[in-house]
Order: sequence, then C-alpha cells, then structure tokens
Amino acid sequence: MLKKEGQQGQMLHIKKSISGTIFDFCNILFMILFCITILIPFWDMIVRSFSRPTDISYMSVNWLPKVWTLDAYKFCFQDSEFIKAFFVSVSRAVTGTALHVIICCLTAYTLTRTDMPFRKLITTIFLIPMFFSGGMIPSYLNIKNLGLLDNFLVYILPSGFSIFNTIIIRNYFFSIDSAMEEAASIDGASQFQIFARIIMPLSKPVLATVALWQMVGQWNSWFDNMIYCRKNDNLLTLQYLLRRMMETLQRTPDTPYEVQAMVDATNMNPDTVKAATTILVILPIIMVYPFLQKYFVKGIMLGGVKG
Amino acid sequence: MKEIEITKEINAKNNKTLISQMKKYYPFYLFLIPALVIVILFSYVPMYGIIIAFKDFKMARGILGSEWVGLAHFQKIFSDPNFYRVLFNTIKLSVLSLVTSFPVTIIFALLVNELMNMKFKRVVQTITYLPHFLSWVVVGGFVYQLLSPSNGLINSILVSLGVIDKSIYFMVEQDMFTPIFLITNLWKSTGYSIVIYLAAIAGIDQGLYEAAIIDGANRFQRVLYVTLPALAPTICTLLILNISSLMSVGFDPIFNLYNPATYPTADVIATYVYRKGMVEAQYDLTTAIGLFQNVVGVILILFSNWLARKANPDYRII
Repeated sequence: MLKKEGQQGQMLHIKKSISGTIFDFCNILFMILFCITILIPFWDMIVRSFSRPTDISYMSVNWLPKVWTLDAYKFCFQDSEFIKAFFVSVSRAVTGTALHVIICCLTAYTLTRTDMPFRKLITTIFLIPMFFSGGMIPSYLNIKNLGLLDNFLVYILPSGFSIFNTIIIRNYFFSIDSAMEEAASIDGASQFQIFARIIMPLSKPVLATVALWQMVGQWNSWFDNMIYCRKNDNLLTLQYLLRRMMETLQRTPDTPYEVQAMVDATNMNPDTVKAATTILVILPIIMVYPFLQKYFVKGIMLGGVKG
Repeated sequence: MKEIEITKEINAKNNKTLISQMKKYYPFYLFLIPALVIVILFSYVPMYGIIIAFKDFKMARGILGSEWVGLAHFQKIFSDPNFYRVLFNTIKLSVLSLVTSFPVTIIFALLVNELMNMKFKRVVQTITYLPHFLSWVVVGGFVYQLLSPSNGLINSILVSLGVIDKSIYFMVEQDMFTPIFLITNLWKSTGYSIVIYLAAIAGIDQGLYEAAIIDGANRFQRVLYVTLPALAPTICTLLILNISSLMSVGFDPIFNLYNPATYPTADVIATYVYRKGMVEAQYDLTTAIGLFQNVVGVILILFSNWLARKANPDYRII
C-alpha cells in the first residue's frame, strides 16, 4: 500500500516535470518569436539602408543586402538639410533637457517644505493642467500671440516644466536625510547653496532618470515642429524631416513621378535614403538605451510612490 | 465685545505668523517663479482662449474683440455627420485598443515571469521595451515600409509563398486600418507595459508560493490561485485609470498611420480638429470640438477616480 502511494507520487512528479518542460519549451519558443517580431522591422530597415537602390526597388525578400553599400548614408551626410536638422534636434534635446531638469528640481525642492504657506494652493495650480487643457487650437493661438511661432524657444519653453517629473523628484528629495541640510544651514549656507551643493549631488539617480526621459521625449517630438515652426526651415528637426519624407512617399503611391524625379536627379532611391534616415534617427536612442534601461524601471517605481 | 477683540487679536497674530512664515520661505517662492511662469503662460492662458468656442473668432479682432455667438458652434457640430463619424472612430479605436492590449499585457507579463533563465529573461525584456522609446513617426515609417505594395516585406513574403498573387496596398484599405492600428499598438507598447506587472509580481510574498507547493499546487495552479489574485488590485487600478482616457486616442499613432484613403475608419477627434483647425483655419469651431472632448475627458477622470476610491479607499489620483 505504502509502496504504491510512493510510486504514484513519483509518477505524478515525473508527469508534472514533463508537462512543465513542455511548457517551458513552448514559452521560450514563444518569447523568441515575439523578439523576432519586434526586431524584424528594424532589420528590414537596416538591410534597406545598406542596399543598392536597384536591389530593393522590386518585390523580393532580402534578409541581407545583395551588395553592401554606404551610398544612402553618404547621401544623408552630404545633404545640408539633414545636417541642419540633426543640429537642431541635438540642441533642443540638450537645452530642453537642461532647462526641464533645473526648473523641475527647483520646484520639487520647494514642494518638500511641508509647512510653507500656500504650498497646497500652488500644488493645485500645477496639477489642474494635467486634467484640463486649452486644447490644440487655443494653444496654437497662444503661441502665435506670444510671438513664438518659428522660434527655437517654442521647442524648449512649454516643455520646460512637468508636474509629473517634479513629483517624482520631490519624492526622492523626501528620502534625503534632513540633518545634512540643517548642518549646512548652521554653517551659514544659503538656501540656494544647500540646494545646489547638497541636495542636487545626492539626487543623481533620480536626476538621471528624469533627464533621460526628457531627452528621449525631446528627440522624439515632432508635433511642435509641425504646427509651430512650419515655415522656418532652419528649425526643421530630424523627426519632422523624416515625417516629410514619408508624406512624399504616401502622396505618390501608384504614379511615382516625384520619386522618379528624385531618383533621376540624385541617382538615389528615396526608399534607401528614407531607411538610412530612419536608422540615423533611431541610433542616438539605441546609444542611450543601456542607461535608459538601467534607470527607467526605477523611475516607474518612484512614480508609483505617492506622497 | 471681549470675544470679538480676542478673535481679532488671534487673527492679527495668525496674520503675523503667516507673514513671518512667508518671509522665512521667501527664497523658495523665488524658486517657484520659472515653473509658475511656464504653467500660466502655456497652460492657463490657452484655457482662457477656450472662450472663442462661444465667439465668432476673427484673427484681426483678437479673442476679446470677436463677437459672442453663444452655442452656435456646438449646434453646428452636433448636426454634422462628420463629427459623429470621428466620435465613433475615437470611441471604437480606444475601446478596441484597451480590450486587446489589456489582456495581452497581463498574459505576456505572466509568461515572462515564468522564464527560469534570468539571462534570457533580461534579453527578452531588453528587446521588447525597445519600441517604446521610438517616436510614432519612426513606427509609422516601419509600418508603411513593411506593408508597401511595391517592395514591402509582408507583400514580398505573401507573394513568394503564393498566398496572394498580386500585392495588396494594405495602408489604403479602409477595413485594414483598425487591425493595423491595434497590432502596431501592441508591437510598440506591450514590452513596456509589462514592467509594472512584473514589479507587482516581484512584491508577492514567497511564502504564499511555498504554501501552495506544499498543498500540491502545480505551476499553472500557482499562477491561477496565487499570482493572479495578488495582481488583482494592480489590474483593477490600471483598468480604472484607462477608463479616463476612453475619449481620446493619441494624435500621434493615428496621424502617422492614416492617409486620406482611410479617413472614414481612421479619423479621430484629435486628427479632425487638426485638419479643420490648423489646415482649414476654422479656429472657433474646432476649439468647440476640443472643449467638448476635454469636458467629457474630465467627467471620465472624475468618474474613474470615484470608482477607484470605491474599490480601494486608500487610492486617489486627485
């Protein structure tokens, strides 16, 4: 009797591990398939960007370029519009992020003073726009009235502050020991010195998180370019340059005269140029990706903590 | 008499302490200036601009100088069949994307959690978050390229396998827009949205699993009876939060995937407002449409907040 039970138990165990192994196998297989699905569009673009125009202009499945060539990339780097757009994108990412982080930190530091008069009222003033906004058209008219149309400032000023990031930073500031602040103020440091010399250096992880988010956001934004800086080509960003290339291709699906004209004029297929531009637009994101990954899970966790 | 004097005295004292408190904190008020200027200039002034929804707005006369027309714009909107079309598309696309992405995210999070090899798990996560950090311009470019009828990968594969004998121009097929939109959405966001679930799973007490193993629960049963119940509050909260965004489909995904051929099934309120307002310059009318969407959005937020508090009294967004 006992022996039988023991055998049954063993059999059950074996059975369980077999079904478990089958599940593990299927699960791994499914995950690999999912990853391939994510990567295929990237790979397809990379292959196109390194291909000769003639190799990809007809229907064929290419998993590798037939002949590797850098022509499309050379074309991009010789294009003055591309170079200019690249610099606009870099400068808005750098200045926009710096401004955003500084303003959010100053505000967050103030909001840690729990006994400051009017703190609640000020927080409410900051929170309301999260739930109700003027909308696209009133915002446009406002920017127009302020004289910021076709002005670089429109890229960095409206996005200079976000209450969401401020709350994340504030929650981190709360975790810093207040004894250090007191010690500094006894030593005669001013509020600004305490903020700049003590609080900021201690908050590097959260500052890195917010800075990276904002940088990616700045790099990826194109809507403000489309509606606020439509007329000034000196302010064209990389994202909107790409968007305009796509529009040209969308407009001419069946009768690609325009496309043909471009091929004739430059000996370049717009598809390879578009692919190369796409890769160059993604590249900076891929470069900061390891850092993003390191910080953004932490950031989500910080955001989850409500104060 | 005396009482009044005492209250007066107390008030004076309070005022004094308030002023002295404010004096004590004056550098902090200076720290607030940049943020306040930005919020007032770029959030509150546009809110004031909403009044053109009730005016016959003329650029030359300005917001104040234009004439009041009452609810005329709203009457025009609600008698316009185009408006009902974009309203329907907005609700359709947001409900469908919630219905697809919500269960897919939960199942995917549970599957990733079952991966035993930590290195493989990290690789999977690294690859699947990646699309979250791309702009919709890039993602739209991917979709147009993959589905291109002249040299796209999907058409090439389908033709070479003999599934179809002539390539299909997917992006101009009206019926294809919704599935393309939903799949693209899943491709872009699933990897990122599982993070919050994985964090919640990591917080589950390991003792519960050990107890379940002793009780003879197999892996599937442990997921069903331990992990899922432990995730229920997170799932509930995220679901409620999603209700508040039911009236708005993001502008970016639609704008980068649609084209004039797919307007009937793809056009949503945000894109309609953009074309009518920015391209055709009907500022007052489109402000009215935006206001309508905004008000419904606020009502949905208040409703979902109320619902969330009912489900969990500790919970609040506002």
